[in-house]
Order: sequence, then structure tokens, then C-alpha cells
Amino acid sequence: MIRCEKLSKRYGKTLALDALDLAVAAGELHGFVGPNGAGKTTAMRILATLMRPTSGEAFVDEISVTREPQRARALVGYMPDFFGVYDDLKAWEYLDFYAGCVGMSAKARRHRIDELLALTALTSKREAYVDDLSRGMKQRLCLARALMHDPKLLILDEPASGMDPRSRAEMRDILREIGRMGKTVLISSHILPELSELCTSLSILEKGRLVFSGPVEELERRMNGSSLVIRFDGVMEEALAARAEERLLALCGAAPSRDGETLWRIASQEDQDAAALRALVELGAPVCDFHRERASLEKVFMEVTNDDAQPDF
Amino acid sequence: MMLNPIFESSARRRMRTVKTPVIVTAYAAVLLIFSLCQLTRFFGQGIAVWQARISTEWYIWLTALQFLLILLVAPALSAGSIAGERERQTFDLLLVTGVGTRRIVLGKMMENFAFLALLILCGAPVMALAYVTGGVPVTDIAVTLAYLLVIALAALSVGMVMSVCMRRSLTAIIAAYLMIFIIGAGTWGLAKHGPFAARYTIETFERLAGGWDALVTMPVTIFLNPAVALVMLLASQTGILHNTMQNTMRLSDIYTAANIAGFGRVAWVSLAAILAAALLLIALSIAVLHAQTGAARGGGRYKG
Repeated sequence: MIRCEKLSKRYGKTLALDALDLAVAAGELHGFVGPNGAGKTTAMRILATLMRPTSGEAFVDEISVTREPQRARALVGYMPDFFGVYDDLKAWEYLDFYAGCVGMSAKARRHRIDELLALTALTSKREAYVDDLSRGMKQRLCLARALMHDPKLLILDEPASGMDPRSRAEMRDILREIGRMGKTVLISSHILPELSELCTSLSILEKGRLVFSGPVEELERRMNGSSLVIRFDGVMEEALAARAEERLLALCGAAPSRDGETLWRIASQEDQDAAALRALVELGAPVCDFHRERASLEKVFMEVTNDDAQPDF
Repeated sequence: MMLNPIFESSARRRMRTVKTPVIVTAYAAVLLIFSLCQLTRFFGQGIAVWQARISTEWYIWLTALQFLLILLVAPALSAGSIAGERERQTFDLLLVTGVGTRRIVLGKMMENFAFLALLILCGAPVMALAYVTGGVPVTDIAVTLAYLLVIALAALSVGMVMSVCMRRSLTAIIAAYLMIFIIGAGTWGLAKHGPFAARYTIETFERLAGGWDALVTMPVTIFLNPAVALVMLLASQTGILHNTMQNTMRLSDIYTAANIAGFGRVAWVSLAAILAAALLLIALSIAVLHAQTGAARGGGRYKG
């Protein structure tokens, strides 16, 4: 559905996109992750025909967005990271306006508007002024607008930014519903966990370059397994600690890294866990906690992008 | 035929704001108060021939006042239209609907023009007083109203070009006022000096035949000056204002040629020229906006 070939975009001296190659299959819920300034918005604006790339090509359903923007527009629903609403219109009038813009007849509009209001759970706000809607509702209204012409591809730029958890959950439900309709969705965020549970595949962008693209599971696999966390009850004698360390190195094939006096971490395979615990107990080490810690996607993200910008939670 | 959605939505929003009735009321109030001040000299006295002169002079002032009010309101209206969409960040959303730059510009123009037409219509009953008080026939009043509509369209089109070219509505509005001043002063200045300037001598005046012969000798740019067009129109209707043209507007040679050609004819040609210029500017706005956005936009802000 989406194909980018060596897509580059330069703003003066800044290279926002650096030969981006990206392919997203039809029907996928594709997450676009990266720290601020990674080029997500730029790539999305190019796909939405709002910006011309410096070089390279982008296709939506095999239609070039630069050569045939009008045809591409009919396939793409775009929701930017700002609301872009007319405050002095009612919710239905707002949608009616865009329905007119996409060339829908007055008769077809009414039905379509009701349908979209129902989908975005805004039916009760039909007659409300856009200005009086909450942030989350405005966001959903914008989503309804983007869906007006029944596009095959939906591009959502940071749809969850600045929304409370409840609104995010509602948005997520709606996006799942849209996914079930068979639409392809490209959704960006700088918060990885938010996307990992929603999306079927992910791309990670860093400084305009693609550092990862593939199914969510593959990303999790990339981070080699998990790590063993051992906590001791009180500080051990140095001799005991040294012996324990030696045993663990022999068993797990990796030396534990000490996180303070009482917390050790070992990046090891799971199959040696039982032996390691037995060895520690036999040595008389005061183990009070022994568990596996899954690599969080956030960690994977930080690792893959080795980014200095902290993601916000 | 389907209504232009941009016209429909803009008109709906305009009619909803408190600002709109305030502007309409203020416009009508200014005209009415001005007229009452002038016409108090008229009321309470018997009808006499010399009083028609009071009525005529008042009619001229009233038309000039409307002309100025329109020039004051129109540029701000249209200059804010496209730039305002950009500021509100709704412009991109309009573009992605594929509605097209032509419909965007025409929709906005239609809406702005409809609002100005409403203002001019509100002024019509006040104008009609000129007929009641015996100064001017109804047909003349109708022609003047039509003239005001053309001026409104022209002023809007200047504002529209600025709106398309500028990113912020405030700069677009300032540029529009500036441009209208430049057009006014420029067309007058070019008619007096420069390559198109009038070069009449006593001999040429003597040779000039009436009608089109005299008209074609006039400097081209003067036809594009809305103030000159207005004065010529009013002169042809009322038979006064000759001193204004010769002295205040410093147009004595052009005035003489126009007098030979016939003020009415000059006024109509001016009106046609201004209308054509307005339509040209609208087409230019569409072309510029299309070039900016046509396939896609090259520039844009960097946001990552």
C-alpha cells in the first residue's frame, strides 16, 4: 500500500529524511516510531501530497504522490498533529463542509456523517459547537474528517499527543475498528509501547534514516531475550560474592553486572535459571528475589535508536 | 449545481459571528448619520429648485463615503481568507480533500463579495433619499450601486492576491491596503508622468473629435483608477465636480479630454477596465495558489 523509494527531504542544511526505503502492505496497522525530529511528520506529509520530496519517490497503492497527487489524495486520509478545526461550526457542519470538499452529494453526506459520528462515538455531540468539544473529542472529529472519503490509507500523525489515558484508550479502540475495516493505517508516535500493542508492524526512524522495519514480534526478538534479576537480602561478604559470581559465570556464560550491592543482572539464556538458583542457594547466598525481566519495548527502542531524547510516558 | 462548500461554510460562519451584524449596523449607521446631518438643511423648508443642488451634493458625498468604506472593509476581508486558513492550519486539510485551488479561491471570493453586496444593499435605502429629495434619478442611483459593487470586487481581488502570497493574515492585510494605495497613486501618477502620460496641447484639444476619438487619446492607466472613475461617473450624472477634477485632482488636461469624450463614456470604460483587472487578479490568485500547492508543496516548516 505504501512504498517509499530513496525518499529524501532537505530543509536548508537539515536532512530530515535520508534515503528512506519503506514498504507497508495493505491492511496493516503500521506504527511509525522515532524521537522528535526523526522525520516522521516529513515522511507523512510527503505521503499526504502536502510536501514534495527533495529526491526519491513515494507511492500509495502504486500511485505516485508527486506525479499524480490528485489521484493519491483520493486514497489517503490525513490527520495532522494539530486539530485544524473551525471553532464556530457545529460538529456535523464541520464534517458536512469536508464532505462537500471531497465532492459528496448533499444526500450522501447526511448518511456518511451519521456513520462517522457513530464510529468516533460523537453521535451525541452532533449539534455541539466544535469549540465546546474536549481535546479527545476534537481529535476524534478530525479522525472522522480524515475518513470522510473512505480512504484506503489513513495517515495519523501523533494522534495521541496531549490526550489523557481514557481518550487514548478510546482512540485505540476506534483505530482497531478501522483496522478491522481492512484499511491500512500509518500511525506515528514517539511513544513506542503505545503503538506496539496496537500495530501489526513497526518502523523506527532515527535522524531521517530507517533503523528498523518489520513485525512487532521481530522487534521484540531483536532484543536478545531477557535478563535474569537476582536480589540478595543484605550485603554479602566479599568472598561469598566472589564465589557466587564465579559460579554464575560458569553456569550462565555471562558475568553478572552489579546494580548496587544487592541487585545483580545477568544477560543469559533462560535454560540455566534453575541451575543458577540451586548453585546460589548451595553457596548460602541470601537470595530473596530471583526473576526474569522481559526487555521492555521502550528499552528496545532506546537501544535501536540509541537516542538521547528521553521518551515521555 | 452543487454549492461551493467553501462559500457555504464561510458564509455560515460569518453570519454566526457577532462581528457581522455590528459591521452591517455600523455601516448603515455611518451613512444614515452623515445623511441626516446633510439633509437637515433640506427638511422643514419648502421645495425649491436650489434645494436639488443640496441633495445632489449630498449624494456625491454619500457615494464617496461608501467608496471609502468599501476600500476600508474589502481588503481586510479577502486578505485574511487564505492566509487565515493557513494560520488556523486548516489549509492543508482543505488541500488534501482535493477540492482544488480554483474552488478555494472562488469560494472565498464569492463569500466576501456576498458580504460586501449585503453592505451596499443596506446602503441602498439611504441612497434612495437622493431620489426622494429630488437630486438624482433612480437609474443613476442603480448605476452607482453597480459601480460600488465593481469596486468591491476589485478591492477584494487585490486582497486575495496578497492573501495567497503572504503567510500571515496581518501582513496580508497590511500589504493589501498598501497595494490599493499604490494602485490608486500609481495609476494617477503614470497618467501624469512616465511613458503613458497624457501629452495634450491646445492644438490637440482643438483637433479632438468627440466620443471614442478623444477617449483613445487618454492615458491608459487613468481608466484603472477607481477614484477617477467615480468622479467621472458622478460628473456625468450630476453635471458638477468639474472644479474637483481640474483643481483637487490636478487632472485638467485629462479632464478636458474626458469632457470632449463624454464623462459617461469614460466612466463606463473605466468600470469595464477595473472589472477586467479584478477578474485578472482573481485568476492570478488561483494560478499562484496552484503553483504553490499544485502537485505538492516544496517548502514548509521543519517539524521532523
